[in-house]
Amino acid sequence: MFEYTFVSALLANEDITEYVGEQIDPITTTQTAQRPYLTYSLNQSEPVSQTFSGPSKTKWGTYDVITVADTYDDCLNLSNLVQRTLNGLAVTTDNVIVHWTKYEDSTDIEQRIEPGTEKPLYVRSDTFKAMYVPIE
Amino acid sequence: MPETPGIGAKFEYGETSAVYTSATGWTVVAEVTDLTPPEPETDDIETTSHDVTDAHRTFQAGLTDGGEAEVTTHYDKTVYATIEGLMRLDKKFRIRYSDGSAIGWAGYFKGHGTEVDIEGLTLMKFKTKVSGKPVPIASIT
Repeated sequence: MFEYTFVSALLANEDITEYVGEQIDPITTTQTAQRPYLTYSLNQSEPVSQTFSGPSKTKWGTYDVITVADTYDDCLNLSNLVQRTLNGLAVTTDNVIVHWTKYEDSTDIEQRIEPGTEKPLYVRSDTFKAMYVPIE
Repeated sequence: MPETPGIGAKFEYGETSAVYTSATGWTVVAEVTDLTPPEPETDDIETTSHDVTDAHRTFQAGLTDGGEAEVTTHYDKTVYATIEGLMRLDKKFRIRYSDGSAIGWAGYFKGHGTEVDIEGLTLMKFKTKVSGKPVPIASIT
């Protein structure tokens, strides 16, 4: 699946796994997760073009990778690592070809409060767009 | 009036011996993204003379030019090379609409090119010239 390509790329980066281990989960993380960690969500997947015989197999996918950390610096550094790892990613796996990936945008680093505590945590979302085609 | 969806239309070409109403003898060009059928246009021959009494020019129909058709598809190097090799050769062409009807014409491939989009797919375009009158086809059997 397309999502596994960028998750694999993040897991292959030792600088990132030094921060998060294998804590890169879809949408949200487990209750026992230790910060910092990453989550991701696929926002949009649409065919690149429409033909008279149906939509193209090649698609554009847009996804967010969300960095959650206990300190502002950890959030910033980890988010920057994510951007550098995924911007320009092009990879072929057994079931998908990613032709290109580009970094699109980031939110400001937000400070939130951990539920049930007064402990601050820091969150940033990075958005990426990729063009990919499933291999049939 | 029935509404005919555009999706499902096909662009085909065949030899000059191809029969417009036949399902065989035609090569379908796949993955068409844009299709512009021919638009015949008739020349105007002005017949205005000093005998006109209402200050309006008069005309009669001249010859009709069958026009040109354009097709854009996803780029395929093999298909592109094949059609590029058919440039200027007499062929028959047909656009089949999704309701089973079609329009056919004799002519030749007269132009080709590609369009490269850095974030999209590479496309190829072909242009055909209509020779004679396009033929509407009610159905293909």
